[in-house]
Amino acid sequence: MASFLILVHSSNYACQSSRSALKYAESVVNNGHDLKAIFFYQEGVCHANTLSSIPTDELDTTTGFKQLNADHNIPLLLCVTAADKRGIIDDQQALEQAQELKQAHGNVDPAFTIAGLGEMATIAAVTDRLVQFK
Amino acid sequence: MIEFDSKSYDTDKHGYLLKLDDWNEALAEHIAGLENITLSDNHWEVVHFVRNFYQEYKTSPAIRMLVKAMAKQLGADKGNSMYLYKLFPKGPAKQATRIAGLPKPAKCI
Amino acid sequence: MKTIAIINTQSPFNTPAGRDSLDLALIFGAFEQPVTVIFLGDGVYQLLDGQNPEAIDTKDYLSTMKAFELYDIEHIVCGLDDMKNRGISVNKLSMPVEALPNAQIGELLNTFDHVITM
Repeated sequence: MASFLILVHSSNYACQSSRSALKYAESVVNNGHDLKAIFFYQEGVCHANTLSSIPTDELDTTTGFKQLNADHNIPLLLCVTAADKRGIIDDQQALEQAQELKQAHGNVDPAFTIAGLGEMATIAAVTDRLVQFK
Repeated sequence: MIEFDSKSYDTDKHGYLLKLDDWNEALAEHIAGLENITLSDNHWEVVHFVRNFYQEYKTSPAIRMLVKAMAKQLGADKGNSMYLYKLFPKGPAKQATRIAGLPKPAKCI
Repeated sequence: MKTIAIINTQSPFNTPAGRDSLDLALIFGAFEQPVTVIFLGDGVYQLLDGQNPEAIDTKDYLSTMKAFELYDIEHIVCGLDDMKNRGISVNKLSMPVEALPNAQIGELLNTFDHVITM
């Protein structure tokens, strides 16, 4: 058994690599390995945006990642800086900016957690394999 | 937007000055007041430090970077987060850069 | 502890790759994991000295690379063949860099626990 950390760099709609990442993550888990976390960086943070809608005849990888989180407690972590730049914020951040935004709700799917590169580096430091999908 | 001395200064939505050149020491005192901080010599040292840091590295130092850089230049007494948090209780990097008229530092570095 | 290699393959200002990569290097440095930063292909343009990104209204993240030393990131490597192909000599670079023949960089990469490509 080996431990894994997966980095997803591209969005959920623009790139095959999002699907590859999901398939890879499922394989890691199904083969009894320890998937420590999936970290979404750069455009990858778009996976967590509840305001995006994918046509029903296209594969919605976010659903697959959420399933991994629900079934196996795999943490889905977002880089806070990358998410901020792309307008993806959680409820707490929305509250802090409620006056400016004229709304008090964030748009991060609750299966995802806003984190930072620090969390990613901490996990990488104790993980056998780091695998990127770009 | 910050109103001070019958002038108004543009800010981002977190209250950080948009223009580096708008900054002066009187304005810094005013922004510190908004953060409930009265600037002592020790505060000023940090404020000037982060401004100089920005000139050289072209980035607002986040907390880890600030601690490292301060330790290197001013020694471990001042380059540690306990000292800095005493001066800037709500986050040294966040508050010192705002008072120094710099952009908000990245959260995750 | 894990040894980390971060490979830069893109020119400095077309995409944020170089800047995001720098954040990665600094965070691993901050957590005291030994980091080697490698510049390959068009990534070597990130090392050219005397660039003026403000002239194209772009943030000058290249100056932030000076922070490598704050985090004891001292091992900076670039592809010698990539430099030659682009007509860049080592004395045109903004920092001390070890230029290795590209074939040797392949061997070097085998020595790290994690390799991240940007």
